[in-house]
Amino acid sequence: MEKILAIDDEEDILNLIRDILSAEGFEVETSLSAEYGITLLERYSPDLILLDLMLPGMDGWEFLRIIKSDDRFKDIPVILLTCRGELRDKVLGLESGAADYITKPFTPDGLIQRIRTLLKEKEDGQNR
Amino acid sequence: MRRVTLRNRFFRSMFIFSSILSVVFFVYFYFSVRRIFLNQLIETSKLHTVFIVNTFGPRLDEGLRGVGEVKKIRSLLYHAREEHFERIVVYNMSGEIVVDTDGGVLPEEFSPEEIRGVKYLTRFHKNTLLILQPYISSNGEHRYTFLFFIPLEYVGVWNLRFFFSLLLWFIGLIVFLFIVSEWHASMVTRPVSELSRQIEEFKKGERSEIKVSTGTEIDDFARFLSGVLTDLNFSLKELVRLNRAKSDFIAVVSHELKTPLTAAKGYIDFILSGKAGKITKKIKNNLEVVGRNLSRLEDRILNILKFSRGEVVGELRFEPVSLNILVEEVLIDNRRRIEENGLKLIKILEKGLPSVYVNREKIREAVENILDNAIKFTDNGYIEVRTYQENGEIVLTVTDSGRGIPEERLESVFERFTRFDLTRSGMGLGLAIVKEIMEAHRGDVQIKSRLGEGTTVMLKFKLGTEGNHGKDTGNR
Repeated sequence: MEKILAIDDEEDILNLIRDILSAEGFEVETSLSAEYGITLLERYSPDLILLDLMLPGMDGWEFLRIIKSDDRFKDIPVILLTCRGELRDKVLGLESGAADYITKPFTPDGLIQRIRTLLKEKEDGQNR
Repeated sequence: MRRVTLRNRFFRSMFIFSSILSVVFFVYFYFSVRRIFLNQLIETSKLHTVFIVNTFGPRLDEGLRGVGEVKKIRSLLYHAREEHFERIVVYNMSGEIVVDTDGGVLPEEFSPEEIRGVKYLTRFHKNTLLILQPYISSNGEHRYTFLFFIPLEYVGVWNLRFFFSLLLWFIGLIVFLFIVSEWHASMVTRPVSELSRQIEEFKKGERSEIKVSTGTEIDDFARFLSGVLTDLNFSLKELVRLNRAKSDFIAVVSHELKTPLTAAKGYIDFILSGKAGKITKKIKNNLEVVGRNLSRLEDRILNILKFSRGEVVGELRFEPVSLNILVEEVLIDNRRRIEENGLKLIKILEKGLPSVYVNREKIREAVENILDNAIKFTDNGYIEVRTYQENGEIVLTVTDSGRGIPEERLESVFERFTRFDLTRSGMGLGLAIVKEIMEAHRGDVQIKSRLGEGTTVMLKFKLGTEGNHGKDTGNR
């Protein structure tokens, strides 16, 4: 079973994500803050991370920077989930190392599809 | 016009004026002095001419009898010239020259009458003074006339050196005038120079305030200017600050509004997908309404945000839409609300209307906005919705029996944030959005109303795909 780590400061969103992804067969771990997210990373080793950018305390960009410069975590695909839909943010996000970018509100189907695509890519990459 | 500083203009005019004045003065001076000189010269020459005339006059009678004597006289006369005379010529009473210290052409001819009749004559020829003096013998007879030539250079003073020193003085004066004009111009225009210097510094950012204390009206001007600039600067900073605050606000609001929407929509979709559990058809239908409304809410939030940011319609995708079906859907959604307000709904939709090529969501939004207004501003009576085709256009009208809009307000009804009745809710964006939407569809919106007699809003769509080709109306 594949493990997903979701980080967002809204509890309802985390619940939604958990419900949607559990119904699809994923194992989901959630965190309300980026700092706690880092702690979870070490304990949990997820296969994919869903990351909101606007977080209290350490923000999403900082978190992304930290994990991408850490050899243990830099290969975990990250999908950015955020309200800011401007092209500039998307490009910046992808350049910072994120694998994909979804704007809120999102459709559950859209989310699931993106996750599956990325996990498959990662798998193909590993098998090569 | 060429740009020239005030100081230069002042300096130039002063310098030119004083130079002309001094040239005139100098010319006058030169000629006056010359005249005085000449008079002096004549006076002093008199001594010498008289001496020579009285010395030689008597000798001439004797001497002219023999040629040898004439030569002697001539030689003596030649030496008598000393430094005073360049040439001496003696005439007899017939007008003939009897003695001439030098030969050559006479620069001026005198008639026998002049020679005979002269008492004492001075004439000025080129730069030579000519003096005619008669010799009167002891018995009172006019026997000879002496002509003396005195060049001005002989005077000693009046020569080239004198002229050059005069010129030098003149040049000196001009230089002096130059310096004085320069100084004077600077002094007079200093307030202005100071002011422009401070303005330059202000422009470069080295100075934040303009202040001069020259004791002239320039001080007031500078104070005024400084005040204006400071206010402008302040206003500009305010503007920038407010603009930034606005952007921040939009970002925050955007996030705050979209987040609950995400959770709500997400769960609706999730439930509708069946993955939360089995649901009945009735529940499904109701949830679909909720979902649709949430989408609409999302659109409106986006619109407001776009409006605030300055964009309006954005990119549109078009499809053929049946206006009647769309209208029906909107009416169904609002049915409860219409009933609650005690209003009667009249629907006259022409059957078989051709489709319009539009953006479904936008047109729905437009219709909703219009209906919303109708419901809001009609206390009792009816709302009539009609669709029909006329003159190659598809027309939708919404008529209410509400309070109406006074004629003078009718024009501004499509402007943003104008509200006629402040007792009702709303931001005043409704009709403005409708207008933008219709413009993006190359359609038209019209309004007819009378105070107390209700309002009719008309949407017109052109038939055919070209007619409704909309595009981004551009940022504001």
